[in-house]
Amino acid sequence: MKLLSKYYRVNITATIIVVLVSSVFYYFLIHHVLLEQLDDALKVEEQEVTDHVKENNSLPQPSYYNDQQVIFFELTGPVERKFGTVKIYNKEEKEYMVTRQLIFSIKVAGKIYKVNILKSQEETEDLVKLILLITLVIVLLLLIILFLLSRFLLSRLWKPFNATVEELKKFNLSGKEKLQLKNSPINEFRDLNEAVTIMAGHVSREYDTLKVFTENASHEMQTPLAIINSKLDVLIQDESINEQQMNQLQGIYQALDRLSKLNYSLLLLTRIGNNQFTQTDNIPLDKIVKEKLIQFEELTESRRLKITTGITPAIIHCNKQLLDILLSNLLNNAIRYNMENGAISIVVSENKLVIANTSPLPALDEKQVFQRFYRHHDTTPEGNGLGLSIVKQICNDAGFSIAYFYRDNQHQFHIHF
Amino acid sequence: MKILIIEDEKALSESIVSYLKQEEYICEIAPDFKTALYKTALHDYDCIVLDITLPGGSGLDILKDLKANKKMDGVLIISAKNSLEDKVVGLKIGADDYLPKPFHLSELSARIASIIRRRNFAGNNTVHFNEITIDTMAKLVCIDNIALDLTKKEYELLLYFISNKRRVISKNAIAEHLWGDETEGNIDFIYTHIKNLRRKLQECIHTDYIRSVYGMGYKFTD
Repeated sequence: MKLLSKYYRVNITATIIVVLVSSVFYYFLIHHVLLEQLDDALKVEEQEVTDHVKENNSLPQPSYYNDQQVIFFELTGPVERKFGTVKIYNKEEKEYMVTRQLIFSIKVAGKIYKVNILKSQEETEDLVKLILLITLVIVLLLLIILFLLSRFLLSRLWKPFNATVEELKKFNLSGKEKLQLKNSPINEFRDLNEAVTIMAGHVSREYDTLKVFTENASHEMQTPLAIINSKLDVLIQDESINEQQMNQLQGIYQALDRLSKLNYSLLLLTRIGNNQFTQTDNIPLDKIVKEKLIQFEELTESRRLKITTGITPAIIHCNKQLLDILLSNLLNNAIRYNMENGAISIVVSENKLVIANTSPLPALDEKQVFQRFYRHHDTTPEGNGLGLSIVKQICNDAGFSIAYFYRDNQHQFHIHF
Repeated sequence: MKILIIEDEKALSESIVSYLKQEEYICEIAPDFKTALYKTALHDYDCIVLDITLPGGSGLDILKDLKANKKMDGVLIISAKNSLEDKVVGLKIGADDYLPKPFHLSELSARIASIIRRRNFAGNNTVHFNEITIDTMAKLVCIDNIALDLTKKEYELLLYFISNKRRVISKNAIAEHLWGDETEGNIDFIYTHIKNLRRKLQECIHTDYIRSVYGMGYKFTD
């Protein structure tokens, strides 16, 4: 739920409750005040009747006006003086009218009379309704204005916050750009931006340290690897080593070879990540691809792979060394995971490179294929699982996009420049 | 032939010395920057194996010092920092070759031999092994003065064998020498090349110089 909707929900509920409760209260209050006023008028009439009786010792003439009636009835006993609201049928208007009445008894010339003073309450009721209506309309208008105003104001107020969120979404730890947040005159947002900037700074520094660490760690491993390698090279010169021991040594060699290549790949990955391949040139991709194919000719021929090419001139802008690694990795995969008498097709056009190959392997997981150490479970652990990560990293670095597809029983890698 | 190994890792420099001694090289070790400067100033070497990261200074400064003093020693840089920039800088200053760590000693030996051949201004660019003669300038192989027709890979293989004659070379080392980094797990290809080379050599020579050493590798020996 949005903060704004949450705010509105609470705000509107509270306002409605307050308005409802207060309008009920208001209605009764006004009603009560106006009734008091009506009763006062009835009392004045009562006084007039009493005064008339005192002066003349006779009842005044009853009056039958529409808004005020005074009626007398003869009684046997006195009645209690009381105010009341009744509905009386009006013949002229042909409807029941709400009427306020005062009943009291008066003694005139030894006889007891009940005096009934009636005053129409309709006007009062109308007035109450009108006042209530006006009040409600004003409150409603006020609410709408408040709502619109706060909506407009709040969305404006939250603008710096939304801008910060947008910037954070764009922020890429391995990217070259630093986090840039706009200054806000609002203290809270300024604090937020400051905190976020400081945090991003911390994270970036930690990340850089980690990258440097990875690179250094890989570098530091090279020397021990070199020592092991050299010791083995010396050891195998020993004439007294028998076949069994030689096989053990061969195992060590193989593992060492894998470790060396793994370390080399990790080093390469971090070095691309650390932007250490800054020099870029305009490179004729078509020529480089043709050269690579000649380089790999021996491998492709030995597996009797059928190579089809569609190479048109293309110039791309990137680092030459990285392009070389990219092509080698892709071609190596296309050959290694191929089958005897399989096929490889290579298409080079102005803005696209497609390398496709047949393989006994089924379709790979598109999401995972570029992940470090991802291997299809049917493959032998010949490769170190970093080849495609390196390809991906090189593409990212050069601003190319790469995608994997499985079409027509072929594994395809598409690179857009 | 005198070789100076400037390398601070004792274990590594000892292996190098032990391997190169069989080639009848006279090897000296300089384990730090100061000793290296002292030795290079005092003596001339046919080849200097130079590590870049040294205690007390950078190997590149030793290289600069050599060039400033117009020394003609051949220089092979060995570095744990396998970066193109290092390589470019090193070669620009005047190193003859660059070999990233880790490496096979057979590769190191072949590279040293190549540097020494190139440094040799007497024009002696030939390598001999009994009746086999290789002219490295013309890339020509002769057996008893009869030219042998070899493919590029077979030629490289033979030269590599003779540069490491009478020593066991692992299959990995051969594969890496012939195909570089391009051949992950494609060691099997060397069999074809060795088979072909062996066949071509045996057409002229009756003894088989290429000896297979169990599953480990090969030894070129008489």
